Amino acid sequence: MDNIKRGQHKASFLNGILKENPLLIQVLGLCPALAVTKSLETAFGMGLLFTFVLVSSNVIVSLLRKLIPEEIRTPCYIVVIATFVTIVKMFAEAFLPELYSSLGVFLSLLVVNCIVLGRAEAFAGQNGVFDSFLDGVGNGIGYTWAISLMGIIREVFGLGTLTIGKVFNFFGEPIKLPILKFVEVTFDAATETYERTVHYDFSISIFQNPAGAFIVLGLMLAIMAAITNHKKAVEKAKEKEAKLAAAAAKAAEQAKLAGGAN
Amino acid sequence: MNKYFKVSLTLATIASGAALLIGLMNLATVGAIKTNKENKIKSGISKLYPNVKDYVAHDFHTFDEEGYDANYSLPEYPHLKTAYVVNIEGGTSPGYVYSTTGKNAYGQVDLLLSIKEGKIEKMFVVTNTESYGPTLEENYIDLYNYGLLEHGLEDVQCGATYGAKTVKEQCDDALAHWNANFGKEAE
Repeated sequence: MDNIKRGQHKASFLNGILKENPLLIQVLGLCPALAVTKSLETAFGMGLLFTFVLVSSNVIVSLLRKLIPEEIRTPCYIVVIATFVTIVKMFAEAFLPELYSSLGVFLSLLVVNCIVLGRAEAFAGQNGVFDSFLDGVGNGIGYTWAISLMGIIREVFGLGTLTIGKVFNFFGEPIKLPILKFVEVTFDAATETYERTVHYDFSISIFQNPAGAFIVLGLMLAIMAAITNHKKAVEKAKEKEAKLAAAAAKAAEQAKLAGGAN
Repeated sequence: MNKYFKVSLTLATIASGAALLIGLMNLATVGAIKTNKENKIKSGISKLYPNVKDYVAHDFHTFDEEGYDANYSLPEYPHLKTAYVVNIEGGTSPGYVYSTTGKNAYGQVDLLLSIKEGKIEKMFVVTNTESYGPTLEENYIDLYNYGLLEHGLEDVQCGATYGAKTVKEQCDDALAHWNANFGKEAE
């Protein structure tokens, strides 16, 4: 019994990370994934705030699931989600102002995010508090890694650099890693002018644009689909092999029995 | 009757709980949010004028209510929010900084603009929610600050045409207001 429960907890947590990843498998939450993935830090920040909203709303919905009458279920879920989104907005504006201004309207739009509402309806409304908590954490991690990966690809290819410490500005000046682009600005004291030298620039600006977001997401979905299909094909082949082996064993046994009878 | 009562009670309880949580969070963050905004302006002004001593703010939105000089409250400058007259350490004349705002279909750009001798000297980005944000900053505002951008060619050079237009409108408003109000003082 304990093993079954443990298995259920494990499944609640792990499913959202890879097997039922909200973005790459269920293709949900596309709007923020396309809009806030221009940089790694913005995408990661969105992922963290999203995870908090998802976990908190899942827990509260699960706690209240037996008290909420059926006919007002959805409005109640929306009130709960909107409360946590408002709290997260205030927190971000107060303590992560750079992140708050980069996310803009997409932070408020978490209220109507189909992943948050979907998990509340499909999972938290029918399962216990601990499982709902784990489901929220798992889906949050799954969404965060997927949009962070999109953020890295779009920032590196689109801007040519990877900036760390601009949005999460806790340790002074941000670090800018010149991966595909290195531009140096020097000040000439004699003429009192700045000089801009481009050492190398292999960035492709379309990756920073909405079209680039669609391209990156499309490629990621294709890769994920290829991996999933490959896994399914391997599993099918194994099943077929096992069936053939079982049939061969059965035939051999029958032949043996027939030989014995003769 | 019992059913309706249960529904109303549930909604009222959840809404009250939500209001209480939001109220508490507001109390906990309101101070920090105000400080953040002030700090952003302070750091922006000190980037535009590294030797800043102090500054006086003239808020365009409160001029009418508080009875300030009517010259500052001008509806024909829709992009202006606040004008700062900056005292510079060791300087003979004050510096002028405008806090401006502009919107387009791609987002909002809030700036601090310093003006010297009737020209925009430097720009500091306070908020930039434009979807072409980095392009606008890297290919227009940064280049302008380094004196590397030819004036008047912003929108064709930077790759963020509408963002550049918004910035240009803000600059035009700031310059027009400066010329009308501070230009003679500065001379």
